[in-house]
Amino acid sequence: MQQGGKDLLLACTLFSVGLGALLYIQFGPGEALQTSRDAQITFRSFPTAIAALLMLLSALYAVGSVVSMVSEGSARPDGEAGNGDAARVRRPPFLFTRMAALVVLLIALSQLLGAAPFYLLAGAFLAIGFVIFGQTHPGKILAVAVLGGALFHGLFVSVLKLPLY
Amino acid sequence: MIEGLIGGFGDVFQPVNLLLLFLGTALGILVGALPGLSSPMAIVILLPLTYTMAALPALLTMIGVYVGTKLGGSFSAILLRTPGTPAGACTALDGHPMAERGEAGLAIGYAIFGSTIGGVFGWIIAVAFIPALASIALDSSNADIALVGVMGLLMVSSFVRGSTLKGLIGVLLGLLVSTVGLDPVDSTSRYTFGHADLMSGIPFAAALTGFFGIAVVLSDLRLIGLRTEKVATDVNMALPRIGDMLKRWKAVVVGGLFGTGIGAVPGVGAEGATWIAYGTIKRQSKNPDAFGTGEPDGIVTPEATNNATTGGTMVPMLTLGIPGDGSTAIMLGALVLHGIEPGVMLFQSNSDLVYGILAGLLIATVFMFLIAWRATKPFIYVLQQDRSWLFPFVLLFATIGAFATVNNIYAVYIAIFFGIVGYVLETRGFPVVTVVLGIILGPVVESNIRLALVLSANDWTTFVATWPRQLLVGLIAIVLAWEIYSGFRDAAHGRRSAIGVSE
Repeated sequence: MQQGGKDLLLACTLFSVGLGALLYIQFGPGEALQTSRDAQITFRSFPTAIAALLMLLSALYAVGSVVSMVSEGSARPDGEAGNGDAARVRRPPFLFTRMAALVVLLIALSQLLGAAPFYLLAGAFLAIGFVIFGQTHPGKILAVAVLGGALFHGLFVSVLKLPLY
Repeated sequence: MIEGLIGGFGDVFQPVNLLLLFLGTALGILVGALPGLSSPMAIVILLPLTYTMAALPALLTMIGVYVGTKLGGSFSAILLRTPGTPAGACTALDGHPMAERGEAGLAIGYAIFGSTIGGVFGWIIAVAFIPALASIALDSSNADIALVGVMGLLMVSSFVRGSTLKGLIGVLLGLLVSTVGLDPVDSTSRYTFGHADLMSGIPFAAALTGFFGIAVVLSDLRLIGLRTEKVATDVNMALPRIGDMLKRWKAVVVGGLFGTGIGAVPGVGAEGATWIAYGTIKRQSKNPDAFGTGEPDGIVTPEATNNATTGGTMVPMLTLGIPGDGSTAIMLGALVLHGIEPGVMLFQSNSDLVYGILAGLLIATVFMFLIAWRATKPFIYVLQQDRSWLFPFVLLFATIGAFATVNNIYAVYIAIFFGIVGYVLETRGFPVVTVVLGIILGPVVESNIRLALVLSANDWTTFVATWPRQLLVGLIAIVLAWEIYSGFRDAAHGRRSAIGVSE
């Protein structure tokens, strides 16, 4: 995707966040427990102003993205449109797969924290993390993961007494 | 003040505190030297380790890391031309050419000299200004604090790298996040969606862990497969001669002034300051063409600037509770976790702690000099190792650190969420430090605006009722007008789009 296209996508997301925040604070279930009757601005005022400004600036950002997309398109000869960045910046193989795997690994760790022995979790997390970061030597990975798991268990469970086991 | 400082030094010279400060500084140099790791990231992963400590030892460890990373970044900049920290990029311009002609040791010597003197310079300014500003801040009312907060937010978005528009959007996102939970005046729940966990707001430390830990590791996936360059292992640090150091007083003064002054502006940090100082000293030089080819002033100036920011960032942090950069934002978070409320009352209610922090800042600078002087080789050895082994450790530290903030899995999910958000924003050129400062300053601005209006019976002229407030409102108007004007001017000249997209 062109850079302008990515900016436009983000601008639309930000605009949606602002719109959602504005609608929720205006029509959501909020109710003041201690209503300051004299107050000119209420619990709704600050988020309303921020959400409105966010929408305004996101709209400006979106307009700029479209302008940028148009200029990118006109600056490039026919047939060469595409991902200019990819040509310039070297990316490691399977970058987005690795990122997704890392996020899934984090979520899995969160789900299992407290449900499985921490040293096992930490060791497994490290081992999979090393593979995601491109390590290929099984012996080294296993050794460092086992040592790392023991280190994390000693530090967080034995020394810092976090409620993990 | 002198008694307070003596007391502060007395606290820092406790053996355990001294040891933590030393270890923090050594870790900081190491982290700074490794591209892909950063000062905020290192401080974030230290958070859970410091929970069980008292506030001062915890802060001293973080200050050690903060000071150490400033110098560490220059090692990889000089030896690899790959700065370990963004602020080290400037040092590479003249440091690496010196290394290439066989003077790597002397280049590192200049970096250590500049960093140390710059750090001491920044410390002197901080010590001179903080007590005075703190006493002025004590007399401030809600309206004053609200205006200072607005000014801070505007400065953050105006001076960060990249476009003002992106800075402003980042600040607004942070402000919006800060409204989650009970509102600070009426205790009304906002954006909690019925979840009890969200009633107390977004756990700040977990959000920081996401922004500075998880997001950075996600970015570091791009480093996979990059070969670590071999550098000369026989580098012996060679401090420049006394006469040579004295000759470079102007570089130190320029660096010190820019570092402290710009460092005190919230959100700008060292990166922008180093380039401005470098440009200034180059323009003033009798031989500007020598810059970029291995000119020692081109190393001393950015390094002095970089370390002088450590003093500069302490000024708003300790007097107003406004962080100067990402690292000091995390330190503020650490203060809150230790039950200490940062802000204008900090100096009055915890003066021992403030003086301890100031004393620690100077001693960390001395440690930085001693460690770098006597132990350059181990850092160069580490520089050549495969960093991909480190990142899963950092990620696990960050994740468990988030858990430890509230001993709840919910905080881990918050960290993961902000990690992904931070990664996406950084990829598109939004500096996440603006979001973090928005989160910090949001409640300060909102509660003080509302309280000021309640106290003045809804009279908005309270915000211009005194001359300092008129001055602040004037400054806010000028900064805003200047940013709008320069945005349109740059767009007209094609330097960047008015809204700073894909610059």
